[in-house]
Amino acid sequence: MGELSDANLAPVEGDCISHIPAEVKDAAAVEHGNREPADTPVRPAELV
Amino acid sequence: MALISFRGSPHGGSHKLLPEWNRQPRITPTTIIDHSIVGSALGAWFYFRDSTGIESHFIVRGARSGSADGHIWQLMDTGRQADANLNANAFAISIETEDNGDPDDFPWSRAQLASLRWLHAKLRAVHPTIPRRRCPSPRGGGLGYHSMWGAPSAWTPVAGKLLALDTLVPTPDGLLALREIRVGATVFDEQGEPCKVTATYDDLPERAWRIMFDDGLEVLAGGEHQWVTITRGQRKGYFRRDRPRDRHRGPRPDGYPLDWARWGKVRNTDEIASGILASDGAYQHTIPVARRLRLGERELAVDPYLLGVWLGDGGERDGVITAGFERQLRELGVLGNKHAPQDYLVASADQRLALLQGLMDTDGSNCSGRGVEFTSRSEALADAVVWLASSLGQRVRKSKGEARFRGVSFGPKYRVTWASTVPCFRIPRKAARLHGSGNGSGETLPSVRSQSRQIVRCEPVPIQPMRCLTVDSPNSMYVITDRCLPTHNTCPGRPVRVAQWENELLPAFLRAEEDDVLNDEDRRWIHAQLQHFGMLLMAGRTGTVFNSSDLREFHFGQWQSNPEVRDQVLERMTQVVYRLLKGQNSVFNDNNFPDDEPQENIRALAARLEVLQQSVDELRAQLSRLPPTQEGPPP
Repeated sequence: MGELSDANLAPVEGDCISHIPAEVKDAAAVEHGNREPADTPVRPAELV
Repeated sequence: MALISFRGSPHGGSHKLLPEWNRQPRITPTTIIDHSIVGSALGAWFYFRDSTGIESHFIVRGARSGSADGHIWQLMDTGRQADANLNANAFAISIETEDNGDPDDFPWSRAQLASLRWLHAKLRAVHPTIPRRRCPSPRGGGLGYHSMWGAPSAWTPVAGKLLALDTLVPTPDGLLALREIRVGATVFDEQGEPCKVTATYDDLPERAWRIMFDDGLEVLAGGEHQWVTITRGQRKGYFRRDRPRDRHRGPRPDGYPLDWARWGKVRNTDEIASGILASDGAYQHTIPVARRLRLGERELAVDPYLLGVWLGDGGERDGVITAGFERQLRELGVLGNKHAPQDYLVASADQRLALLQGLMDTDGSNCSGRGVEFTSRSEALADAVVWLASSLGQRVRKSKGEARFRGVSFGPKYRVTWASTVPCFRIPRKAARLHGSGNGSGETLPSVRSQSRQIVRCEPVPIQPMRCLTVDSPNSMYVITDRCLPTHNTCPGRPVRVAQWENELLPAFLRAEEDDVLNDEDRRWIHAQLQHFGMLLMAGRTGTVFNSSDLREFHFGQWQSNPEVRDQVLERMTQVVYRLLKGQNSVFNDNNFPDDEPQENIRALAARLEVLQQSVDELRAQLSRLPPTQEGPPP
C-alpha cells in the first residue's frame, strides 16, 4: 500500500504557503479586518 | 466525502471551508504531510482563499492565536485534492500549522502537538488507506513533513540553500567536489565529527554571492544558503571584561565556546551580504573554525614525520635523508613527484600532525609568538600544509610571491601562515619559540583571532547551477573547502519542528493508537469515575473535581495496555485531588504541614486521602479484570 503509479506524479504548478513572506500573509488578514472567517455550517450527519 | 468531526479533539475544531473545498479532483489519501505556515492562520486562510491556487486541508492554530491555540480548521474535504504538496497533491492530506513567522526557532506549542497527534490518528481512522508508517519515499504513503525530501524536492518547489558545485568538501577519502557527494556519503561537522549526508539537492539559486573571508578564503553560495555566524555585538558581549558588571564573569575566555553553533544564529547569504559591517565599522559576521577532523588511523608505509621531513628537505629523485628509503618512497609514488600522498592527508589527527611537523621542521619557521610559516616553491606541498593545518583546527592564509636569491628569481614561492594552536614543530629550537608551548602540555593555548574567520566582503556573481546537502549532524552543520569552513546544511523543514516531528508526532502515529482517540462513551465513563472520586472526597459536597480539560491528553488505549501509563495517570489524579484539598483548606500548605496543622485538619485530610487511595485501588482492580483485548470501558 502507499506506492503510487507515476501517473499520479504529474508536476503541479504552484508554490507553497510557507514560501510566501509572513508580511504578505499578514497583509491579507489585515485587508479583511483581521476578522476570523465565519464557520461553514455543516450538518452533523455529514461528519466522519 | 470527508469532513472531520472534531468531537473528542483536544482543543476543538471548526470547518472554514474554502470555495473550492468540494470542487477539486477526488483523491484517495495515502499520505499526511505536516507543514509550517510561516505566518498566521488567519493570513494563510485569506491568502488561500483570495490570492493563490493553492490550499491545504487543515490549519492547526498556534500560540499566536491565544486561547485558540491548538484549534483545528478544516479547509478542504479530505477526499479532494489540495494543492500544497507539488507532486504529492494527488494523494496527500496537508496540514498547515500556525507559527510566529519565524518557525526555525519557534516550536509547535503543546496544544498544537496534541491536536496534531489527534488529527493524525483521526485521519488514519477515517482513511485506512494511509499506512501507519513514516513515509518511506516521496511516493510512499504514511506520515511525512513538507520538506522531508529536501527543498526543492518532489513535495516542494522552494529552492534550497545552495553552494557552487565545485566547492570542495572534506570526506574520509579526501576532498571531493560537492557535485560528487552522494546521499550516504560521510562528511564532517563543525566539531570535526563524521556525519552522514541524508539528501542532496541541485538547483539554480535566485541570487549568487562570492563570500570573502579575512584569511583570503572565498566561497560561492546562493542567496538562501545558510551560515551560522556570531555578530560583532555577540563577540563583544562574550569577551569584554572591562565593565564593573563583568567582574563576576571570571577571566576573559581564550576562545569561542565549543557549542558556538548553538550560540550563533542561522543567517542566509543575502542577510549577511546586506550587513557586512557593524555600526562601529568592524566586521559584523564571524564564523569560528571547525575543530580537528576525526579521521581513522591508517597503515602508513613510511612514518608520517619522516615523510614530512623528506618532502621538505629530501632529494626529489632519491631517498636522501635515510638509507634504504627509496623503495618505500617509490611505492608511494612520490619519488620524482614530491607531494603528500592521499593516505597521509586523510590519516588520523596524530598522523596528520606528525606529517605537518616533518614539513614544518624542514621548511617551516616561526616568526613571533604563535605565528608560524611554511614556505615552499611547490604549490602542492603548500596546499598539503593548508589542508593538514586546517584539518587540525587551524586558520591559515596562503599567499604567493616570488622566490629570489641574491637578486635572481627562482620562480613563484608559496607561503602558508597561521597562528598555531598545535605543536607544529618537533625540533626543540623551533618548538621552544612557539609561544605558549612551554606549558608542558605540548599544545599551545588558543587565541580568539586564530579560532575564527570574519566575513569581509560579499559580491554578487552570475547565477550558476548549485547544490546543497542535508546532513545528520547535531547542529545541522558540515565543513567545506580545504580550510574546513563550517556551514549550515539546507534544512529539511524547520529544525525545531522537525525534531518535534521526529520525537513526538511520528512515534505517536506509529503506535497502535486507534483507541487513543477517546470516543464519547469512554470519555463519559471516565468522567463519571472521576466525578465519583470527587464526590467521595468532598465527603458529601457535590462538585466536579476534574473537568474535561484534564482529560484532553488522556489516551484510553494506553491506559488499558500500559501499566506505566496507568500508574502515571493515577498519580496525576492523586496530585490533582491533593492540590484541590490544599486549596480548600487555607491553613494547609506546604510550608506548615504537618507540624503547624491543627490535628482535626490532619485527621480529615488523612481520611480523605485514605478514601482516595481506596478508590484508586478499586479502579486499578477494575482495570486489571479487563481482558487485554477488550477495547471498550467496563459497563
